[in-house]
Amino acid sequence: MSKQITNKNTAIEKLKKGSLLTAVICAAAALADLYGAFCSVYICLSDQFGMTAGTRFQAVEIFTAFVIVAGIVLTAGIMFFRIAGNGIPFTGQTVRSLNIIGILFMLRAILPPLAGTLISGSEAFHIAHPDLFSLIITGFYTVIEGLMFLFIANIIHYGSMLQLESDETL
Amino acid sequence: MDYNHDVLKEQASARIRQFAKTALVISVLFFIGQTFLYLRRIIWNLAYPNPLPGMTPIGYPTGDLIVKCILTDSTLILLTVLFSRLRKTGLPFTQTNSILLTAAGILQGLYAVLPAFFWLGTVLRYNAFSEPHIYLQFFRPNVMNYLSLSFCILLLFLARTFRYGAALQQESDETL
Repeated sequence: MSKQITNKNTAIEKLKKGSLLTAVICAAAALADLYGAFCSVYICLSDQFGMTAGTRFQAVEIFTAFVIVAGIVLTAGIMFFRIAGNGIPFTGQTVRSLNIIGILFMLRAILPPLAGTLISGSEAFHIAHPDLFSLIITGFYTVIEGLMFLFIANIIHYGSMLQLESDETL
Repeated sequence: MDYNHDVLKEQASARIRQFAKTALVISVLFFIGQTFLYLRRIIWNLAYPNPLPGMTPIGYPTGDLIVKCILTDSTLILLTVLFSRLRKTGLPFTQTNSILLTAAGILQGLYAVLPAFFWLGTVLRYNAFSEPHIYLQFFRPNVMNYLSLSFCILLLFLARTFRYGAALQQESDETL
């Protein structure tokens, strides 16, 4: 029994250190994504780049993608900061964060081209994406990534029940 | 209360089995697709080492492709084994699953970094060691694979989480 407690405490300490490092990386990535979003807005609004319908479509698409990805890494960063605080990953909040990340990944597949089409029109969509097949494949991969996070959320949910059982036993 | 807890755990385990079945199918399809694409390019490179005028060269050196193929396939095999174990038992938190995730994470880390080192080695053969800007280009997104690096971090973090979960699972089983 004491070996179990030592194993658990060692695992918690390792999780705290790993989570803190990952949280810092996520924070840096979120800043980089927000900077990218700002650059795409600047390119879209500035007169010096000679924007056509197709390039405006792409700028809106890139802006939407950067904002969604910034949301993903920010959610992940907050989750990792929380885990770094107490070293316990199996909580309801972690499950909720992972579900949000999974849903944002799926939105990442759909929203950017949709936003571009709403702002620049369907003709600009065909100019920006002459090869529809590769757009569908990229969207498919992003949906798979979203499903993967929903899968992980289910696993963490199972873990949260084990954690609750452990806390009640103690 | 205990009965509810067991029922909820069973339901969560059943959901994990369903997800694992889908993940297993997807990982097998990815394995077949990636292997086919890599082998096609490697065979092309070996058959046409000096492309004829008008033919598009594949772009990557053969050694680079072989290493990437081995690393990708190894990662996918490990994940397939993990998903098939999850599909069978519905219990994610075991030491074996943690080891599988650690190994997959290390392989993804190598996938992110090794081709960049190959690139650096090729460049340093033709450029003087005293040009520092070459080393900074090591970190460019088209040299270092940041997507694989993110997967590496995710898999290693999951491996540690699974190790903690394995300790909780053992405690739960012993309590029962």
